[in-house]
Amino acid sequence: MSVLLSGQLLAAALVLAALYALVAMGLNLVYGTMRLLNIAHGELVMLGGYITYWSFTSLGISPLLSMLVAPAVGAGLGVLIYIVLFRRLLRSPKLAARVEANSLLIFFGVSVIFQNVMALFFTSTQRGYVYLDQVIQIGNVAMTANRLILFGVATSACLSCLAFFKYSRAGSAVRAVIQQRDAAALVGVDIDRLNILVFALGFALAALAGVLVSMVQEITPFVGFPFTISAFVIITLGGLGNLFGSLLGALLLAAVEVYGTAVISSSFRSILVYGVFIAVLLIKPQGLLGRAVAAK
Amino acid sequence: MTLLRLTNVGKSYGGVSAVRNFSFDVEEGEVVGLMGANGAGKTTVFSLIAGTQPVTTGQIWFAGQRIDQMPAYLISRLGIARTFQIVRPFSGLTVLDNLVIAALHGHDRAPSRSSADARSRAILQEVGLADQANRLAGTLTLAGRKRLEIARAIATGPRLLLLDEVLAGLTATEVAAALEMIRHLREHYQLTLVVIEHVMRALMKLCSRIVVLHHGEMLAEGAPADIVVDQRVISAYFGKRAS
Amino acid sequence: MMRPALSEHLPFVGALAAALVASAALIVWGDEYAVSIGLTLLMWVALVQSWAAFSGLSGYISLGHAVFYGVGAYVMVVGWQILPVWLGVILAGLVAGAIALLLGWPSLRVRGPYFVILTFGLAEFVKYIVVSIEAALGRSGRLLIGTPSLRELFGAMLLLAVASTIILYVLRRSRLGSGLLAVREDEIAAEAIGINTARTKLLVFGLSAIIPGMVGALMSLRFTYFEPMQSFSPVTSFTIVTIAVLGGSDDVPGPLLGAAFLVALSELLWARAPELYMIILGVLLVSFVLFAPEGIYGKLRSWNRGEAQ
Repeated sequence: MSVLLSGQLLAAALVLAALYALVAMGLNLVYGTMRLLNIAHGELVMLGGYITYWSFTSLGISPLLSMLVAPAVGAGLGVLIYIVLFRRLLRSPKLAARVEANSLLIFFGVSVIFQNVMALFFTSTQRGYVYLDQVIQIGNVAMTANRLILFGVATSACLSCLAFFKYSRAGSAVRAVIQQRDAAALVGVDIDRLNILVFALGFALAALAGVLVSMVQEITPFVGFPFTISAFVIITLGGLGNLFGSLLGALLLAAVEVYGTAVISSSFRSILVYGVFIAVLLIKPQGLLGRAVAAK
Repeated sequence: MTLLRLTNVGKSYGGVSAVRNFSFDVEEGEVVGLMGANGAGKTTVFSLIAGTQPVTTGQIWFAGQRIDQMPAYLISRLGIARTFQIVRPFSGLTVLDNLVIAALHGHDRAPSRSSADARSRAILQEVGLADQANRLAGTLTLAGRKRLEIARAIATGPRLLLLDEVLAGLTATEVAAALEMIRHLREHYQLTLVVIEHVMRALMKLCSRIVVLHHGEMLAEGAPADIVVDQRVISAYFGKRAS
Repeated sequence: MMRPALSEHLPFVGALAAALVASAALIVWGDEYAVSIGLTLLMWVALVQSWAAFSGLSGYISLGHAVFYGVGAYVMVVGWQILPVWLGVILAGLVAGAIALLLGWPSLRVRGPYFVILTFGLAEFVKYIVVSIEAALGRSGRLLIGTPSLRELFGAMLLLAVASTIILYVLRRSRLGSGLLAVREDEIAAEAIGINTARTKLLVFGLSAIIPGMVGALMSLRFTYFEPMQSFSPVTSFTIVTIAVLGGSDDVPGPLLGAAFLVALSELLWARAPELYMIILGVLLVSFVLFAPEGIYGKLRSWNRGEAQ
């Protein structure tokens, strides 16, 4: 029992929470503003990881630099996917009538494409590299340097995002759209440009998370999906579109995972995550903190 | 006989009450109008009767049976049909199929597809949509969709029909035609009607009795001629209006 | 959807008869390879017709139908040599149906997009539970010895494919099916005209799981090997949905066309370049959703009608 109170577990939970918060923020953005459930979100994480891996092992480029490159690539992909696929979906009245189902199918297809393109280039073998894995001691908690970096980068990225949304004009526009889409359009918010921004930012955040993930674990082309599920649990827990709420959701899920698997066993991790996922969807789909958006 | 009875019905969402202490009866065969400013609670009353929303307080009785805790589909099967303020056609299905499905599931459940078909075609004839029977419902004009909404409700073979602002958005000529159609349908299918309307002239012509709602409560009730000159109604509803 | 005159059903009955004749010819004269392709085709037809009976008609997309396939396979392997084979198949279907009712009862209450992702989550959840159970039993995969021959399995799968096709055909034209179509169009309006949407959805969801369960059982006999990560693979769910989108899921010919196309494509690519095959499927799925959402069959039908868009 005492192991549960250890600083080590707490540190692990905090690091995981920071990572999850970062992954969830991107998903929450896209869902909150456009009501599109990006089930390919985890694949962007995976892509960020592979960009870092390849840059490091083939080109000798430090993962720290990839933290700038991968998000840029992610943003580019986001813009591309929006312009080529989703603009068309949103502009066709017939398709837009069932926008949720159709967007799910499109994202589903996109995720399969991403997974298999990466499998084609890198095979399904687990890929990893060693970087900054010196152990650092803080009090009675031992942590590798890369995990500390992960925590630092993820937390600052999340906080910067939140600041951006609170204080910048573009950010306020995004929050306005989350609250009341039609009204925002009426007061002159260019919805199309905002959608592009949101896609770019959401995908960039996911890619950044991927860089961080690749530093601390091995990746395969199929590593993305569990992140999508976790992100989804978090935004549901925290309330769809509620960007602050997803921070709490991330803390909660990370705690459940870290402490749960410490108590039970790590082989039950998947069952735990999916179990929480199902429970959240069934019991309180509006999230523990409720929605930040007006009801339909 | 009293077909519909509301006793001290109230509905609140969170702390806000949309309807309060509302009691009202409808006799079989009547045409009762429900009037009030926007937000007065009229559509909420319909939702409570039809079962799409549960009541917070009070009771609703239909043909001697208590219905306020019943789900919407059961209430429909008991014999109450309604139209929606913003029409909800089955856009991807044909006009005819919209009615056939209603006939197959509603109060007067058709025993076979062919009898549902026959009933539906007859109703389409009455509402003037017979020539559009095989068009997809989504391709109709607004006026057409409003007629479809009424026709579909009637296809369930109801005893009580709730019409929610079916005349909104229609031109003067269309209103006259619609009124004529409603009167005819009522006679032909022996319907009891409760009608929400803003078009005063229509309410005057159609209804034997009008109930006025104000901020969720009953303000006045009586014959149309009396309501129009009722001081409370005039100051609450007409008072500050420009038109 | 109208007119119950018998002549209207003639094309359908005729097509079924033709399919049966072709299948009989295949069993008698086809070589191993041809029969095995035929089996695969029939498998997808059975799976997708069953899926379409619920998801196509109601618009509630189930992204986790593989769970019923997997459950059926598991029932079969667990009951292997305890139960007679054909009883095992039937039991597999019934257990899958029961699981569907269990899973469906809470999940059908959630709205559209939640339902989709919930079915996926539930499928993965069940998968990992079976993985854990097998691990706890000390099993890493199960082998079946003495399974029925390829041609016997083909015959059984033919039965399932025909049954699923008939079920979709009849359901779509029945009172119950009309309730589903109404749910797809506007669930609130459907309730207002007397349709018990909750019960209708649950009933057909349960029904749509039975044949996939039996298919799973048959395929475990075909592969003579059961491994939960494979049997519950999301690729199966993905393929079902892709076939439905490609072929059309509104009526019977759609899944048939989609399955034929997919089997042809997979024969060309799967052995040589499985990733490329999946990429192409993904591209096709996205393209069809955007440009031909009613599928190949739907497009053919609208060209036939000469409908303007």
